[in-house]
Amino acid sequence: VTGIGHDADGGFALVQAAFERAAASCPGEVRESWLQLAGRPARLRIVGAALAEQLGEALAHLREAAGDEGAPGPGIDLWDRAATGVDVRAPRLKPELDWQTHGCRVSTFGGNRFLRHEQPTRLLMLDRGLLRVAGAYDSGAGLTLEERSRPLVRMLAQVYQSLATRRVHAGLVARAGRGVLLCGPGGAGKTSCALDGLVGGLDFLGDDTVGIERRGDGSLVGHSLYASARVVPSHLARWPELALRAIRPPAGEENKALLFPFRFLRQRIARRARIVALVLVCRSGGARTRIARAPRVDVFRALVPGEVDTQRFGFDAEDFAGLTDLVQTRPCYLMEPGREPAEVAAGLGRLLDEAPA
Amino acid sequence: MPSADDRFRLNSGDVVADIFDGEAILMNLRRRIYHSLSGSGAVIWSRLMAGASLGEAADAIARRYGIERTTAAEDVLALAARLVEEELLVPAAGAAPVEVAPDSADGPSSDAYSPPFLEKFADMKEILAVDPPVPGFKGFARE
Repeated sequence: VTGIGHDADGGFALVQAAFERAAASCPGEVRESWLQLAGRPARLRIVGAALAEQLGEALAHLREAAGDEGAPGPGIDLWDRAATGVDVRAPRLKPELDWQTHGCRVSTFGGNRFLRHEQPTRLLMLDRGLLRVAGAYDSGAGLTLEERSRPLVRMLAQVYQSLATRRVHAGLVARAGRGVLLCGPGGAGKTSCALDGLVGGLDFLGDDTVGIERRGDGSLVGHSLYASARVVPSHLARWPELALRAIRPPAGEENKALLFPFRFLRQRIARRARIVALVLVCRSGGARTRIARAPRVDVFRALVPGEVDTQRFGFDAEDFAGLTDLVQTRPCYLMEPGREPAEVAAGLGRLLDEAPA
Repeated sequence: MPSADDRFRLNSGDVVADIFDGEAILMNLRRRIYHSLSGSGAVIWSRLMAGASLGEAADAIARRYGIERTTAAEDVLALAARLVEEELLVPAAGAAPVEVAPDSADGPSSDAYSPPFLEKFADMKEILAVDPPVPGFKGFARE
């Protein structure tokens, strides 16, 4: 696949070959679809109907008509070990980078071209030269709600980056193709604001992970990655119409419920929007929604620390320039969401109305 | 310790910086640390980046805040030493004196003067526990 020996590719070719065996051995289990990742067609092939269903739902809004198989571009090939009986072991090689935490091991090979991500239940590899992901999951039946909400997040972040689209820790809602980026640290209320916007008639592009592309004409385009939202179950009462559709976490295993709004509000899920304003969300507990101008530096900080950390070796001067451009050239607001979702949605709508064309 | 005639430039191989509403954010990409300078620190930073010597930067903040020139000079030199120590600035070797255009921050300020303080942010443990560090790779041929 790569033309590079296993030592250099970290075993990518072995994993890709195992995928082909899985697909050949269980042709009836192959699910193929095409996605639009940061505006580029990407082929997604999953062997194992249950795994395809579990991983595909958060990406369902990105599906599109079949693309050109021969064209260069991202590709994702995954299989279910239990459903196919095909296994693969990552060869033991000396990586260039080796990083472990929380049961996850990440290593790189071949001049950092190949990224390997190992967990007890999966092995994923990315060739950043060809933008191909290949990997195996133990079983499609055992994915957590968190995994279903943001499948392949580390791999796709890297794919986006290679497509000149940087993943940021922010939500995004929009109207008529113009979007408000929702920034803030974990727990600030980004998801609540995004869902308030969705219920209040705005388009939903993400609750805490979106890609940002800086285009040659100076526009900054936000790309949706996952049409999912994770919410603490006790907060679901805020949106009775969504609460009925939430997937509740198994008792004692996870602390957040999962929503796939594409299931029931398909027309309000968008793939991309031009970012025209930024909102720093700050949970205050007040009854009324308050909006004020935010210091740009606070918004910048809300976006950057996570960026520097999560992709810290990958954050360069170009990325810095992209984020400073985003923050310096768009109006920045502080929003303290109140108790009424409609008021939050109206506030976001007003910011969209007021933002320069 | 630097002297009043010294000029500095951004350590541009490793450091990126910008000023947001009067606050300078300085990011050392190699060390993965970022710093912040507000108030008088951001004014000094702005002047140094415009090519001013340390003495000229001291003149600027003495005028802006109405403080003693000697106090301004001591503070500017101390800040410059810190910026060099943190590898944010490097000497602009052989730089000739330049005419520094006036800056909007050169006018008098109603803000009380406080000595420049370089704030340092390096606590990234929480985020590091979420996502792994991944080296940059830009080998994919973009259109």
